[in-house]
Amino acid sequence: MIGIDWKIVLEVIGMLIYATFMGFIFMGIERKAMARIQRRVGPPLYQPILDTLKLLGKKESVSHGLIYDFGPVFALGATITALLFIPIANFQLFSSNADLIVVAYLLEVPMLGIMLGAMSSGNPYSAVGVQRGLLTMVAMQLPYGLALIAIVQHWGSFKLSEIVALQSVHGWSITVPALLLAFIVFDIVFQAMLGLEPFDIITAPAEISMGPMLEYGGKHAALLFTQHAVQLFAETAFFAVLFLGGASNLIELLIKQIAVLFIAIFVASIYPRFTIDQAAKFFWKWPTIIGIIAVLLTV
Amino acid sequence: MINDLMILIFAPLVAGILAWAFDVRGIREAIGFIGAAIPVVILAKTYQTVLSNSINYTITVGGFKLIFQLTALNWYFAAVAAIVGIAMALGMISTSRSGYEWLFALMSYTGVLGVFLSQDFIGFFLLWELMTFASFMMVLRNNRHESLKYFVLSVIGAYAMMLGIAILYAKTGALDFATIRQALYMDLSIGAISKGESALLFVLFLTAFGVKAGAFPLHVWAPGAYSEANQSYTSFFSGALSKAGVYGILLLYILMGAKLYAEFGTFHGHLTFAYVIAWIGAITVVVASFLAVLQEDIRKLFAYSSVGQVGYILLAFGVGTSLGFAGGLFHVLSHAVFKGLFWLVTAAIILQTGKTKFKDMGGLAEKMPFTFAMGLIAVLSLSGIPPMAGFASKWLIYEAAIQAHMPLVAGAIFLGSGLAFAYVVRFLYAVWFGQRPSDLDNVKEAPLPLLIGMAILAIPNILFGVAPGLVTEYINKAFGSEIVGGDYFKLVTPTGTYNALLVTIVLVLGLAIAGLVFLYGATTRKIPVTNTYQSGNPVIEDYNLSIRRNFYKPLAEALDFWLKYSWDRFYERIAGIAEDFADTLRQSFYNGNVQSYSWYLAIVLLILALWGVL
Amino acid sequence: MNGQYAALIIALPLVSAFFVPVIKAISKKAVMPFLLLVTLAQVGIAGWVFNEVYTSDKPIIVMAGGWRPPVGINLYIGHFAALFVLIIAVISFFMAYFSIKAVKVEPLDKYAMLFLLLMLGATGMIATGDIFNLFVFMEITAITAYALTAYNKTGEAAEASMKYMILGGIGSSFFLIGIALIYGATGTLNMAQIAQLAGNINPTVAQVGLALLIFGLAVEAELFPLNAWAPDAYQAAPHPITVMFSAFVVKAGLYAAARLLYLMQAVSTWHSVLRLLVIMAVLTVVVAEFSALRQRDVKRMIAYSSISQVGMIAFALALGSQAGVDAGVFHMVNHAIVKALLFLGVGYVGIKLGGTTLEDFEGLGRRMPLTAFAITVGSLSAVGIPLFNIFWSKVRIMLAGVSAGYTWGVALILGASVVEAVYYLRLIHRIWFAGGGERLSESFALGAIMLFLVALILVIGFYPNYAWSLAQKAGADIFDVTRYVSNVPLMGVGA
Repeated sequence: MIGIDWKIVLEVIGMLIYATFMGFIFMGIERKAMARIQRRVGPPLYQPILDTLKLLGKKESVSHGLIYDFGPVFALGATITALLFIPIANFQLFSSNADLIVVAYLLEVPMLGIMLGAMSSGNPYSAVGVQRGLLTMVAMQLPYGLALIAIVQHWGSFKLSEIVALQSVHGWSITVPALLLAFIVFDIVFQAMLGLEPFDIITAPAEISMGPMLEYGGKHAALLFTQHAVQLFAETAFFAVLFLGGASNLIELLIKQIAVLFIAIFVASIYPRFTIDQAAKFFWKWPTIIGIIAVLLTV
Repeated sequence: MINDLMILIFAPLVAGILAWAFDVRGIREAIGFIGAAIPVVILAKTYQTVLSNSINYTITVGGFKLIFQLTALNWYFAAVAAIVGIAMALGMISTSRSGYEWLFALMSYTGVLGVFLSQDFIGFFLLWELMTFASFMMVLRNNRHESLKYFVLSVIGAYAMMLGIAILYAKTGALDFATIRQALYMDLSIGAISKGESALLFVLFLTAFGVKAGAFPLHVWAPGAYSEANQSYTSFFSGALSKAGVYGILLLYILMGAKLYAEFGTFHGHLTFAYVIAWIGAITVVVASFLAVLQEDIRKLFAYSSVGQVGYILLAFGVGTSLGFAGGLFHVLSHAVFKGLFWLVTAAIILQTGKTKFKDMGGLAEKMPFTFAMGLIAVLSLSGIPPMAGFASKWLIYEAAIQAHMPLVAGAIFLGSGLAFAYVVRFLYAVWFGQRPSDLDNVKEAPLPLLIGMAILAIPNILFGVAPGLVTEYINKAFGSEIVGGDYFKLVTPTGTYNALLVTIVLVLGLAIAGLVFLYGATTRKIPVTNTYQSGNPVIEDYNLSIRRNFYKPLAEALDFWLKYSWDRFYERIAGIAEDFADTLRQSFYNGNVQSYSWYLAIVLLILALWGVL
Repeated sequence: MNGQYAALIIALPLVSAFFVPVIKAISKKAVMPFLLLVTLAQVGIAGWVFNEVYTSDKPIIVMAGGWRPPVGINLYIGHFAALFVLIIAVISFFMAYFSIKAVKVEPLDKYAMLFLLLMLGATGMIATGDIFNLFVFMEITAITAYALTAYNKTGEAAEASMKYMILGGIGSSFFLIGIALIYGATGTLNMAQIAQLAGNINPTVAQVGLALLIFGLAVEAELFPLNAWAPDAYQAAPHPITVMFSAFVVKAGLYAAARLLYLMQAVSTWHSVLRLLVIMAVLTVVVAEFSALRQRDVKRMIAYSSISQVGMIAFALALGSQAGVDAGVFHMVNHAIVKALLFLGVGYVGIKLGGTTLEDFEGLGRRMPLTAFAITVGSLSAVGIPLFNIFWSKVRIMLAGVSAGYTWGVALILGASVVEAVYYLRLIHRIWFAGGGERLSESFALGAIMLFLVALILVIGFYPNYAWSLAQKAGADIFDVTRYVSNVPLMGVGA
């Protein structure tokens, strides 16, 4: 491991800082857009950054043991890992070493970290949040998988960089009818992945006050916020890479990501919350059927 | 004259008999452990030789020629069984209380090794029955009903196999694999075995191997049998015995693959018979994983989970491509080590706390930290989190399935993985975290032999997770062609790559960065778990703050249409009907009335007359 | 020594049986030891005969009165007969000892006489070479069996004996008619000559004769539906007698049926008869196994199991192939050992604990561990678990069955075997894992006998080569008719 490629190192560090920053901005956009739709003014775009810095600056924080500390650390670490394997704009980073399946799994790993942390906190509401989060995840796996499979079957490769390259030659994924169906499915799943209505049962603010993250305060909460930010960035980038043709530079990618984000926000502001069994039944009906059609069309 | 192979196969049996005979605590454990360790030693010794050529041994018993052979492929299976076997032995040192258990556990170990090494059907069948019988005896001790269910289903499978063997013998005149394979291959041109007979053979063998592997709908014995045996033994039961079923399916491919392909052709570009196996695997995965999520008893949860995971292997074999075989074989290893580890952890929990239902457990992470760490490793592996071994094999299976254009089957595995995640987190939460019931306050860490056993199984999880190339390289050599490329740390297939080492490094890097942020923040003050948010009220002991029962009740509600149907109840009903039929049969024929008996004689004479014989 | 001394296997028990009243007059207590002595002597003679036949590979032909067949009656002690005569003798010896413990009902001298005559009858059926002689011995066996069934003097025993008598009587009558027909057509009663002449006589007569012969023997051989007497008789008879019924009386009947069947191969309807026998045998197996499933009395349960195993032997013998006959003979040997052990064990439990219902067997593992171990080994062998002897013979039967084209039959038999496994395993569970009790003392000698049988089962189970070679030779004896005929020194008198 002697010859460290300094270019990669710089890219990685730069990407991390960029992703974190933009992730927070996305969170801010989310809050601002929701507020505007609800005819409020809303906080400034950089509010989440301030919130996180405040949390980091707290003088003391409580902990319930090793796993409780480890949970958020693990979650953030895993999200960072996931991020580094997605080809962002024209920065390949490590994406040639891990393909679609690996990234899809890595995007779910942070959930485990949060769950571990939530479980060790001992709060029953956290436990309810964990249960709901897991069931949401179970419910969305099938359509999620089907959408991904449709993509892979159509482009014939698992590698994300290749998918981007093929899209730049043949046009965006959503121009293919089968993949348009997959896009619709993935968009519905995306709501659940982001934890927005109608699938925000995991946090369900009015019911179980923040769900799994309930007990966390101080720097733990800061870590979790950061994790959410990076996760948001990674997921929107993933979406853009798969369906909207990736991007050749950061600005283009940013526009696509914000477009995706806005779709999500608009949907979220209209719909109320599904209960968990409704969510499960829903996911296993129409999205699955559309997913199956998409997949069969691309066989 | 006594050759390595014989020692390899029969050492555990001999050790078991000795351990049963000298039923003294200490001596029997020592004998048992040595018996379980000998195969490991011999397999290690023969690793280099099997890669280039195979080791043979033939013995004639009762007019039958039993052939044993150690090739690269069955070395792999035997090695997997041996690792789990030695972990089982270590576990049993702590949890087993009688020579009886050692006898039968080691007898089944011999059976499994023999099944893997046999090259002729009589030896195969003999050792298969031995294996079934021994594992049955382990369950019989604890629960009669479940053990009978297991035995009946297994024996139906074994007899189906016997029928298949007899048909093959009648058609080809041979009982050894080499000759049968040759004969079936040549039969493609001769056509002595018709389509119906090929289908019959396929169904018979599939039943036989499917029962052992726990394929849907023959899986109903698994939850009961796995739960009711000594849990250290269940690590072997679920980790190695189910692989015998999988090995059988592989044999089916080797012996009959060409013939079945010729008879049944392809269906939408997939081998028809393989497609059937893949779908059986997929349904097993989904059904078993769903049922696992809804369980309240820790043993039943892992039992259903085992069934589901073996479904993955069946699915991988059913894909029919070489990549599918590679993925399936890798999963044989991963499943054996992570499931074996799970059962040892369960054995430790039950041994130390005496509880088996989730509602009685909680908060054990502080009391049994090492067991918890082992459990966490197993959890990571089962849910397929990179960079564990479970992920590497699952990745290969995904690649294989999607590449072979079996999207629905691949979708089923996605669902299965999500469900796996769910039930594994349930296990973590209910057992290790949350509020601890007061009767568990004095629980101590598990005894040393169990911990060593767990460690033995945990190491391969991590090792083969970070360096999956070690396994794929071996598989490449066993099959003789480059199925999965790359080096020790990287898996490369034509359509995708997975660099396990790099993922590990980046993960560590990410953790480091997150850790830095963490440390940058303020110091932490540790407070007990019960100091939770309760509007400032102090928490009293009997106020339950953990959800340990019906954790996934909403899922049960979402699925309640499907849960009304159960193969288990269906089989039990059939068994009940058979018993009633038995009574009716007896009462109608042997009714105690000698006049009717005389009439029977008259009827037979009449038949003889009508038959034209009289 | 001259082969003619082999006639002692018939003469000794016969003469001793008639001497029993004399012994009784001398001393009442000497009757049973006398029985023991006679059976021991029989073992010696049978062992010598066995050795002779198997080392020289030639059958011993004993000509009664020095008259050459077909004028005189001859005994044909080939490989099969030598093997089975030995088995009969050994088991009779063990049962003689068991009778000392088990049979307490007076009049014991009559018991001893009947015992010896039963042993004689079975030995005679197997060793004879003349068809009417076969009938005589069959009647001796049957009548002593009727009497012995009723020996316990209970209502149940009387009823069982009555049923046996009626059915057996009908069977014997038809057997006699068959003999008459064959004699009328061929003019000879010698089995070897009948084999020679069978193809030349009026086909209808041959057909009818063969069918009636087999029919008559089928009652004794317990084939469905002619075996309805068997469960009652097995249960009601004294324990040692049940062992003898199951271990060799029924085998003698089966042997006779097989022998006659293969001798008369030349008959035109031979294949139909075979097919009928196969169907009857399969039905025997299936019905008997199912009937055993819900039994509450263990002795009756094992009786049903015995019937079904006999059905399997009949199936193998009726396949019409060398492989089938070899498998059938091997199973006969194994089954004799296993059933002897099982009925001995169950009988001993019956004596010690006063009954043989399922409740009596609870916790037997703690109360009588040696017997329980023996019963467990016996049960596991009967199910067909490998490393026990019946596994090998069952495998052989299955292979032979499918090779002969009776795949459906094999499938049904295997299905019935599943049922067998269920009830035996339930019994084992009850013995070892249910209930409890304190240790009773067990007889040393009986324990030794049981352990000997267990050892035999395990030895054959682990290393069946020797037993299989014996079975093959014995099977060839039955199947290879030309050799049989050539071995008998016929005088050439007759049609």
